[in-house]
Amino acid sequence: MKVYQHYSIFGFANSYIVGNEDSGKALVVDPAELTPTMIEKIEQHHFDVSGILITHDHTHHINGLSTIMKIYSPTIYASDAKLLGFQCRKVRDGDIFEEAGYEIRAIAVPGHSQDSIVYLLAELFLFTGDVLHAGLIGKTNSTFNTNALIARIRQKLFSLPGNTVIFPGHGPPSTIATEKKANISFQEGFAEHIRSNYDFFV
Amino acid sequence: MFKITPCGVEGCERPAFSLESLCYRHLKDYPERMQKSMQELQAQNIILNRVFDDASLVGLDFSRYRFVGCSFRNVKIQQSMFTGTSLHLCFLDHSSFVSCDFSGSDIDFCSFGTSAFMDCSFENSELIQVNFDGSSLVDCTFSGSNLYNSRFLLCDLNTVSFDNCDFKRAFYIPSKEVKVTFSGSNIAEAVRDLEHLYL
Repeated sequence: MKVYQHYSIFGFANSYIVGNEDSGKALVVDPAELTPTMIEKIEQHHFDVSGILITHDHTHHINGLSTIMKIYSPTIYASDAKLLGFQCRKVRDGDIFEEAGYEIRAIAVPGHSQDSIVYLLAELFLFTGDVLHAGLIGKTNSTFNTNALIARIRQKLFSLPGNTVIFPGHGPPSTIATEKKANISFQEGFAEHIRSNYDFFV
Repeated sequence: MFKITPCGVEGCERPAFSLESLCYRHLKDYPERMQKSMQELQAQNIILNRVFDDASLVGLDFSRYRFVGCSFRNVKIQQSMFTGTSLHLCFLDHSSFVSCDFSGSDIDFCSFGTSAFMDCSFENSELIQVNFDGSSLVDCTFSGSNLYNSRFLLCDLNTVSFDNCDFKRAFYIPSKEVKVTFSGSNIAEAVRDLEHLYL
């Protein structure tokens, strides 16, 4: 498996190319953009981009879709039916599908956005988008949503093995074991502490 | 990227070392075999997709090597040189580093989460998107380093020097800090409280 991480200045977001040398196919996760360097990485290994995994519909995670769709003909997996006018294959919580020779499990973790979904690839690599970052969780628009997101992460993601690798939408990588020990959002009173900034409706 | 192969002993859930089929517990003559594996690695300049979880390593010289997609989790590394070493997409979580020299290194998109560092130097290094969350750092220096987009959340810092560092887009919210210096650093550019999170 070849993983190439691209840091996009647009939204300071991470995009990933996951290539499978055996199948000759590649996945792109959250294409903030598609740069010449990314195309070079794909073409250098003669990969055919067969799938795009979208964790949520925020522009700085999907803006590269239009460029990718001009060059390749991948299936777009998302929990939305359409993104930037492109038809998506809708995935729901618990869906297991195969793409580029990898088994992928979709885990819905709404809170940061209603369509937030994370992907567990080969039972080891977790692409979390903005749901879970190194030391933090994604921003929500209310204390209620923050608490709900914390509960969902505890239930659905922290139950994964500790050595599961986290590839987030922003910032450095991490592991489930590290997040269980050192995520500031899981400290008592976190949601209440940030209430003034998050509660748009209060 | 590294691939975790379980230890060949039935019922053992620990990952096997690269170049071996067993984990450290079941590897006979572990220190000698480990040393031999390391020597084999040292014969290469680029070390790709290797797993050395749970290893205990002393007195290694990996200066100016390039590690890509490697896993060194739960390792204990002492008195080793990583001077000018490049690490990309590597995971060194829950590890312990004593008297290690990472000065002049180029570390990009790596995780050292919940690791312990004692008497280590990261001087004049490029530490881009590096995760130090939950780490304990004692008698360490990062002076002259670029810490762009790196994270120091819930760290325990004691006698740590961040002089002349670039903190642009870095997250710095330690849980404990004693004798930490920032002389000549742009620490004001770092995210230092939860009110300035825009992710």
